[in-house]
Amino acid sequence: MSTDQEVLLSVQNLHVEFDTYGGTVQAVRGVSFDVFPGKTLAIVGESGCGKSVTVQSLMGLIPTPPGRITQGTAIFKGNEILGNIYIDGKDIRGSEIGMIFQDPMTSLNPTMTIGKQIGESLLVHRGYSQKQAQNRAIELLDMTRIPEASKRARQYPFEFSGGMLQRAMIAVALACEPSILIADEPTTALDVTIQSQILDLMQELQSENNMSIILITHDLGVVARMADDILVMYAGKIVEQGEPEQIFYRSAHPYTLGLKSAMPSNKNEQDRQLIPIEGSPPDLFSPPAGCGYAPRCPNAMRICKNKPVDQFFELEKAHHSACWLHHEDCEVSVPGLHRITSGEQK
Amino acid sequence: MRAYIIKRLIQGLVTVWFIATATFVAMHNVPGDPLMDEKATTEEIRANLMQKYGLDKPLHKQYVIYLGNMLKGDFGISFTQQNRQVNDIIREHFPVSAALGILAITFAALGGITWGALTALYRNKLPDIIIMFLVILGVSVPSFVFAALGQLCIVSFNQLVGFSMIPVAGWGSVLHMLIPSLVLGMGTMAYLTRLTRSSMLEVVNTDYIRTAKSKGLPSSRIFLQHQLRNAVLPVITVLGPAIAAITTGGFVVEMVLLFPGWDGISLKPCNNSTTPSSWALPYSMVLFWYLWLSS
Repeated sequence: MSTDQEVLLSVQNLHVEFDTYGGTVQAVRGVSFDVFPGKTLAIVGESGCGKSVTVQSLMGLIPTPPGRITQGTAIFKGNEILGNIYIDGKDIRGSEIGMIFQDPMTSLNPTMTIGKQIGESLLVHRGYSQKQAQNRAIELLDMTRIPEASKRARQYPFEFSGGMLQRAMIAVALACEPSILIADEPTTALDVTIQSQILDLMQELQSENNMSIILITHDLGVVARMADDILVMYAGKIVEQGEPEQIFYRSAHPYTLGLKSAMPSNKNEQDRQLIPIEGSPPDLFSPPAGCGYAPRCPNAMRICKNKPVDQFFELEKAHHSACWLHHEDCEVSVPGLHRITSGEQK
Repeated sequence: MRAYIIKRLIQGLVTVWFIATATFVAMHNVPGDPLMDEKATTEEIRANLMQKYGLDKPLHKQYVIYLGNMLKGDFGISFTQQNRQVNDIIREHFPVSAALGILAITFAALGGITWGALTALYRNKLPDIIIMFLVILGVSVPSFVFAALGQLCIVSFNQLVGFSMIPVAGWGSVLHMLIPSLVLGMGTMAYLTRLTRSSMLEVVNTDYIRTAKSKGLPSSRIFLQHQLRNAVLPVITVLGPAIAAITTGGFVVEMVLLFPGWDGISLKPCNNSTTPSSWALPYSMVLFWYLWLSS
């Protein structure tokens, strides 16, 4: 949406449910987005809003049962990959789409050397010999700025620090030069200086390989630094999407406004208090009839509680918000909320 | 490291001394003495024999001699088997038990890991339910029942074949060891099956299995290289004590199947209080256990 480039991955109307003893949880309720080559798409939202489930269902990592993809399509390079991660009988995971996870300490196999774990996907997808794979693994470790790569490749995960493990994870994910890297909260378990190094590394490797990144995070600082496009998710739905400047400076959804006022900044604003969003996310066993955010929204109207926002209002090019406040019949004005100006209206 | 080894050695000496003393005290408090079994012994013969074996000396002197001989690794001469050193008896029978034990533990480990992996793979499905039922049987049915059942099976099998293909009891060829090792390994195998199963199910939900999936590895590779490899670790841990337990714990099976092993033999002298052997055999077993576990 943000560019006229060819779309690499297009996800439309994704619905994912989980059967549990307590009933069916509707974790993802109609998510659509496009991923463009070489760009970073950030998915932001609080815990349990469906960010991870969205990408894990794309990767076929949702345990089924209890998980179920009930609706939707995901077209990757012209092939449907939802529920069938194979293109021409070949697994695209690892070869076309790489993934790194939140906790690098537990995401690597403790009984296998780092080099072997990196080389594994080369053995499987590229038909490398053990020796070739090991040599390439050393190159990859070198590429992720790990010193003494050839020695490190023979070591086990317990011999690495957290930051180094995440670098090794990146090497694992990038072994086959995938066109998309999915990073599921890659820096949440790391301290701030390491976080910064890892993000730098991801950006460098992205520009070297012209790779797309789907970045999942709840850290708006990370998003501001990395993203080309942002999806703000709430209760299994996208509430606002746009470019960073649009999301941060012309926020068009009350939830985004709420997130921003809850976020500390580096500026010396002594009189500014952090304002938390009252309440907690809705129970997705029985999602609310109207907008998911309505119960917590300070600006909620009657329609918000009754009618789900089934459309996106386009505020400007590539900037959309799912909020009734943008309806042409709505005359409520909310301070700080970006509105459709008559000149930009279609 | 050196301090640790020295510490362990001293601990070992104390343990061995304690066991030796406990055996000595126990055997001297058992009613009767080694010569009660002899037919028509006159007082004179009896006194002579007591003197020959040193049983007429005061108890504390016997104890000192006993400890001294043990330090030298000399368990004395047998009372029942004429002109035989107890050491010779151990030397003859230990290899039998060891061979049987190794076979049994191999069978138990291979079987346990295989069945455990299968049950985890087919969790809550028919193969799992069947195997877990058999495992409960394996854990709860005592080995002498299995031994007898095994003999029965062989008898029927031999009848079917028409000649005595597999021997029912005794010692000689590898075929003799078939049933004893199966029976001996049965309980351990059942235990290892349960252990492997729970360990496999634990590993399947770990983050690194998810990583392996995200790399697009074939499920066979994930199963063998990532899941089984990690799940087998606790099994290997219990395998150490299990080897010692099986090698020395086979007396029931050895008695039932008339197997001339160390375990079965070591019980005999205890029954008729032939003193040096009854000291030596449990003692040597403890020594074996100790050396095995501390190594």
